[in-house]
Amino acid sequence: MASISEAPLRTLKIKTAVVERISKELDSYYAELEDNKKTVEEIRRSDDHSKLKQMENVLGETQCMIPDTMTRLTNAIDDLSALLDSNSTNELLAGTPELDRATAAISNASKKVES
Amino acid sequence: MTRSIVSLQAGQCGNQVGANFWEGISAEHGIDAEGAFAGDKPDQQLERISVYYNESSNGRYVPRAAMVDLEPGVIDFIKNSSKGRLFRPDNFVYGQSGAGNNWAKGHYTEGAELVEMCLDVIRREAETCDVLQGFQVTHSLGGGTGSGMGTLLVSKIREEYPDRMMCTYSVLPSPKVSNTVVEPYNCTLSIHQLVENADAVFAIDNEALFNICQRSLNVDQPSYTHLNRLISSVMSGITCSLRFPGQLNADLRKLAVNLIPFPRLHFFAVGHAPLASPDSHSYRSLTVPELAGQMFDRNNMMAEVDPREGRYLTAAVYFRGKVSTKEVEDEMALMQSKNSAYFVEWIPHNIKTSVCDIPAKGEKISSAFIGNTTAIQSIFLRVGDQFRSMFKRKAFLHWYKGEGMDELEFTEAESNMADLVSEYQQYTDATAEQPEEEFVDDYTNGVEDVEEE
Repeated sequence: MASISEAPLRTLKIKTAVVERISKELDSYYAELEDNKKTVEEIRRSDDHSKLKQMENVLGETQCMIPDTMTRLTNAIDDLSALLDSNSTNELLAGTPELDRATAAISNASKKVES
Repeated sequence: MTRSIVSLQAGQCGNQVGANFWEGISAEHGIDAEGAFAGDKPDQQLERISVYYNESSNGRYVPRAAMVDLEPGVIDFIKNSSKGRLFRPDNFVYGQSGAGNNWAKGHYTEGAELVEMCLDVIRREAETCDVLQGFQVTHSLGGGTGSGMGTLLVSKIREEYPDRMMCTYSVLPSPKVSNTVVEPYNCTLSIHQLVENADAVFAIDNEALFNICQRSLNVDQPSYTHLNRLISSVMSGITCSLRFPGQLNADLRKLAVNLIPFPRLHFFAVGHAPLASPDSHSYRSLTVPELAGQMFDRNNMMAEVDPREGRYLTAAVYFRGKVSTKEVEDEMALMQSKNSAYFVEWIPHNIKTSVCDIPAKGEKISSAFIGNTTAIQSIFLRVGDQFRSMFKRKAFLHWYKGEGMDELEFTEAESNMADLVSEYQQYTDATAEQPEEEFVDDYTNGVEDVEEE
């Protein structure tokens, strides 16, 4: 069990990882969206349109995931930022690699949310 | 950038079901007993292989699975079986003590001692994923390890990965199949955990499996082998959308978005067609209408519920093998209009249908079904009745108190399950015209934004 003094560090690591993972997940949905679009185009160009409707629905589903993931990412960034704010004077966190990683995660992920 | 799943199997039942699952999907992906690819459709079989498998440096495909138990028996059996070489040897984690069908031993004492070792394996597997979508757990809810320790792992994973999907294949106990008296306790305590800490639960009901064996497969005395084979075929069916390209519900989060209109109501009834006796495989191939008919038949549901007593909030249907997309669409439209009374009218387009070219093992064509039906409440009512008849006399409670549990946790678990039943009932009765004030916001109880923890 983590002792009380370790708790903020553990929370920081968890919340940093959340931002990093959702950020990757967002990339993966963008990549999937491109793949889906390509497949739809290929089917449209081919003679066999039997799969077209399903593939268009697949594309639609992926499209829906982008705003969904974006919202989750925004919330996760806010959550981690709030944690950093409330610990700004916490000496246990100052200068730790975990703090650097958290700051980097926020700055990288924020670019994706803005764009 | 495939989004991967880390799989976990806990307890005797969970490990047997899990091992069968891996055998089944390995066959569908053309992965042989040594982990080598030996399939004939690499495009489709390998495109999304990394959802469930790691590719090792020597080109072998290794299940991304952790196998956990509090006793060595089943784990040893799997290691020494024909599929034992498929798994990564250091992903087997087991103790010697057993949990003696006691949820408290799995959750608080014996299980808690082993949990860190399990989490190390899970973390290692999770870290190696390019992108992680979430976790799946196979376990039973009636015993001690799968139920107690299984739900402990679920809550520990949720703590560290609050943003990832958690889905479980949970086997519910039935007196027809096993006669451990405390199963209703273990099951109720587990469901309490799964309401709070899981995103999606595929309810696999031993009572229904037993009845399917007797009614449809003409097996008078079903053994675990029969039941596990049914579970394996339904698991292959409902995971096909996660494993093959071009599918709807292509990952756990999309599945949840489509199937879960209310966060707490995430317990699914599942089905599979055709049901064929393993001993007398039918040579007659079924048609699409026959498959659709079987799939929606209550006798095919792997949860002992009557869908006509409730309503479908949502459903997902997969047809597999060489079927005509047009025929599937027409048939499903017909099916839904014939049964419109059993689908809530206030969620439009609530059946998602998709076609997967790769057939199920041993079938030309087949279908799989996931239903979010309010009729699922009847299994919670059943377990709740069994729970209460013992609990009001405090029978066997000393086993749990002896492991440090408080009676209050039983009361809370029972009341959470009773709340769940009334939430399902609320949506059974709900109509589109009903004024919204009548809806108490109580279904949001216990639903917190996971990021806020």
